[in-house]
Amino acid sequence: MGADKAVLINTEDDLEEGDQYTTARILEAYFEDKDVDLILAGNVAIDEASGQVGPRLADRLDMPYVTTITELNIDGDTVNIVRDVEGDEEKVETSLPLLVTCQQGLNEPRYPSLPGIMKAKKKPLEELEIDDLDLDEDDVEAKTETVDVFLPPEKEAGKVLEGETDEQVKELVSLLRTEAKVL
Amino acid sequence: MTKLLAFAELKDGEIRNVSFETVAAARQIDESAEVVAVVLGNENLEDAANQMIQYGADRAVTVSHDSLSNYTSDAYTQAAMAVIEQEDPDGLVMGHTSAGKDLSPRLASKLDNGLISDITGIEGDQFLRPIYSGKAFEKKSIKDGKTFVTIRPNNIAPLEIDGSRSGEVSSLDVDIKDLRTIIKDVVRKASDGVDLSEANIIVAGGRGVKSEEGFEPLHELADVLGAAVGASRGACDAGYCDYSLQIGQTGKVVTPDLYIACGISGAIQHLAGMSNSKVIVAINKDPEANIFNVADYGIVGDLFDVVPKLTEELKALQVK
Repeated sequence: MGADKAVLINTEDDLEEGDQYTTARILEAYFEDKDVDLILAGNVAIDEASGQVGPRLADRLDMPYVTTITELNIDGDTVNIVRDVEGDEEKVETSLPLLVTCQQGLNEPRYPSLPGIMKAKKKPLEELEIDDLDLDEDDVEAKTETVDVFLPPEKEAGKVLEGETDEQVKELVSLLRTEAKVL
Repeated sequence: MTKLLAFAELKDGEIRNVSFETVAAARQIDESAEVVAVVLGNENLEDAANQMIQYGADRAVTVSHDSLSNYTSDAYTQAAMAVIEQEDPDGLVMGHTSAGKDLSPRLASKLDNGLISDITGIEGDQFLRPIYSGKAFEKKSIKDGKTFVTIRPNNIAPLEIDGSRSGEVSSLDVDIKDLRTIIKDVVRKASDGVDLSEANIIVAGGRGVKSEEGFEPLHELADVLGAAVGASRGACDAGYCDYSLQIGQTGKVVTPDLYIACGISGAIQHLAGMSNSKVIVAINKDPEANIFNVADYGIVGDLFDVVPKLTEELKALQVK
């Protein structure tokens, strides 16, 4: 995709359960001495979808942050951003160093090209464990715990209405009023 | 006594519904707790504070400042932290809105505290939240520290309003400074009508709507129902409507009482944004469309035939 270097912080052997606090603490420990200008984070993860890690990390690094951005323009130290606020567009000015979380519409990710894939094999991939970041398990212990994970009760098959359109529409309105009681 | 903070949210000086839901959520966490409403902004604060009390809060703390007119992370963090330091609460409840999502992780970080985001239910000290785009649920609890949650709008019903209820409203002066982000402009794209994330009824269109004009019958139906109009990503990508209408994983997450999906196939990303709706109606030409798997009622047919007839039927009822 175009990155010059990758770092993998492997927590598998050291941590049983982590939460957003854990992730933010580990990233903080990594970034502490890196002197970065800009951190691009995701808006929400596809699994837990809590959207906490970006803002938590920015706070720990004492950096300003702007979430759900759809446009990013950097001119020297000045940064102009457009962010999505529940459908409205907010134009924000801020400065580097900065953390942003990316929302759909920011750009169109390219597909990896074949030469890109070949080149990627030669790029440095650093692997770290939390030990290498001078952290131990207790430093990053989760603040929350997951008590249960379950599938929602199987939804009963819906009622597909039959007959002519006029009849279906009449039946639907009647069902919404008497059975579902939402009208 | 346990003390819980319930954060109000103002938009253009108007209090949002989710604010009252935070009070109800605090009461569900601990019925006998002292619930303190927190109102941050620069206008109508007293009025909002009194409404929070009428909806069940015991008292309210307001912070008024020019830099709180629009939400920014820096200004709101300073104001909220000042209230938290003054009150030293056992728990905090905020709406899982654009502002709540942005602010809550930072406060949690400052407090060195856990945070359970986007909850849809409360069972004692366990909080229910959808994961994997609503395909599964988890129950979480805070191990130690303050009970800190954000609630998904429209899932925890507000308490009944009691107009005679009163409580102390105090204001706190906060010296807000060193702001690192400035809002230059806000472009309103979301329509003036019903707020999509708080709407009780939503009429949504997908690719099947076929064009910008194709949304017209949906708007007419929405008008009759007092509903908001939404869309799937497919319809937005195709340019039939603005992205501000998008419902789904990257758009808005909604939980209306009634969701009418017109010409929407029901991709998982869309379902993530609406599958918690109380009643779902699907109108689609394709009987195999995935949307029928989550719908309570389905009509297999052309939306351009069905929707106008539905509008007429409802209009006829209203006349009666």
